[in-house]
Amino acid sequence: MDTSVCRWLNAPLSRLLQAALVLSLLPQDAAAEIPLNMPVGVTDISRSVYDLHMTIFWICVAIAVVVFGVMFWSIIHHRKSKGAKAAHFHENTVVEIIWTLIPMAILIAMAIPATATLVKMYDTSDAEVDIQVTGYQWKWHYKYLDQDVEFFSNLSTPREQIENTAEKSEHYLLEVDNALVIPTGKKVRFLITSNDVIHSWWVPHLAVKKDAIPGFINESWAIVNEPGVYRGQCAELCGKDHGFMPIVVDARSPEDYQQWLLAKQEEKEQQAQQAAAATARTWTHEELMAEGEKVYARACAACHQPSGAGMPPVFPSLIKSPITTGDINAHIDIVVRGKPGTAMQAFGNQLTPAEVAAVVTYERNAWGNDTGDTVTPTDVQEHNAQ
Amino acid sequence: MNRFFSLLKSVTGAFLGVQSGKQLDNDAEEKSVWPFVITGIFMTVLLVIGIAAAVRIVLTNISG
Repeated sequence: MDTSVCRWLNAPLSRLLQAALVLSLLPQDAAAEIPLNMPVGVTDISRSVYDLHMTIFWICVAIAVVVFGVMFWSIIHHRKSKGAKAAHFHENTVVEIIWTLIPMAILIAMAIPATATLVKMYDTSDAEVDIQVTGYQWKWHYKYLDQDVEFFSNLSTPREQIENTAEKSEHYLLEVDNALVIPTGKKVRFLITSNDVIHSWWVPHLAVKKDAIPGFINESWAIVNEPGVYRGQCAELCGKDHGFMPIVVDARSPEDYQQWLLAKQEEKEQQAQQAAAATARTWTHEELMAEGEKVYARACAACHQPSGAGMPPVFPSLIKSPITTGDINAHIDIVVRGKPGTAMQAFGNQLTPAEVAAVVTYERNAWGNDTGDTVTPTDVQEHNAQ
Repeated sequence: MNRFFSLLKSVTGAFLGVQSGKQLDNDAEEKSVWPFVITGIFMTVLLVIGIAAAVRIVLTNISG
């Protein structure tokens, strides 16, 4: 080989070798700092999952080195220019049995620690906190069983950031209005299901990834050792806003968790009182329109679009549509009970009667619908009582 | 008895995906396909029982 080519080759090659050497000398944990790798996580299970992953990774590396080593050595050592002659034989049962049994032995050796971890992962017994996790299009609902606390967890990233008219924040698309708060050092069991289509509840730092399937309850659990905020996402393509329903787990000390729980219970009572007061008071048309616009942006605009034009045929337009300009009761009904077999979910348990009244009033008068109708919370209550 | 071992060897070879040409010639001597089918089913049942037993032993030892 020409010496100048040699020099040209050697410089990057030696740098590459140096880099490889440095990487191989790093302690195993440092590999987790490289963003391409999976996180070590914050539970004992996530640590053993990570260790399994790294063990199996290095086994694969060793296999690759041996297999490709032998292959390239053979190619170079037995090349034609050195006068190598191809061997002509059809089979070698001994060699074939060896190359079948060795991978089998390696697989079984890997299965032993993997099974031990899997059995631990599936043991959901003796949990101290039970939380029902329900996937919706496109948000999560958390219900603390026996604690009378439940809430929806919506994406809180502002629309401007999504539409590139504002600077993206640190936790862009990984932030929610109500985080799932859990106590540290306690076994928390997640009962995962769905209200509409299949979702998947995935929090990498807890090593939990479970499908949320309508009509089924999948179980998983975690004991978080350190307080902190851990973020995840829906991991099963579930429709238009699949990428906009993140998960935020806020692990707090048991004392802080207890305080949060009490505050949440009080807040719930206050909300119930406020909702009752909002239903009882008299609303003007303008007040309903203003409130309705807010509710629409929060609950409806993701599908029917801020312009009301929807995305036909899946998300129908509300402009001059038979629902928004036709029978008022049918309009209230579709908002409260949804429409089975379509993406239109039931909002009866997500919105208060006042909010339903406001949003229905808004939809009947916005975007040139101009029906002039005013729907009051009492109308909604009467409809619900039917 | 020899014939049974020969069948067993063939079916095990099929399970592992490794077969010698000599064994293949040997099998071709057989007049009917049924001895292979029956041995195959028998070995499959053994395999399933073996896996089920392995799982049971592992589960009782780990979580027990």
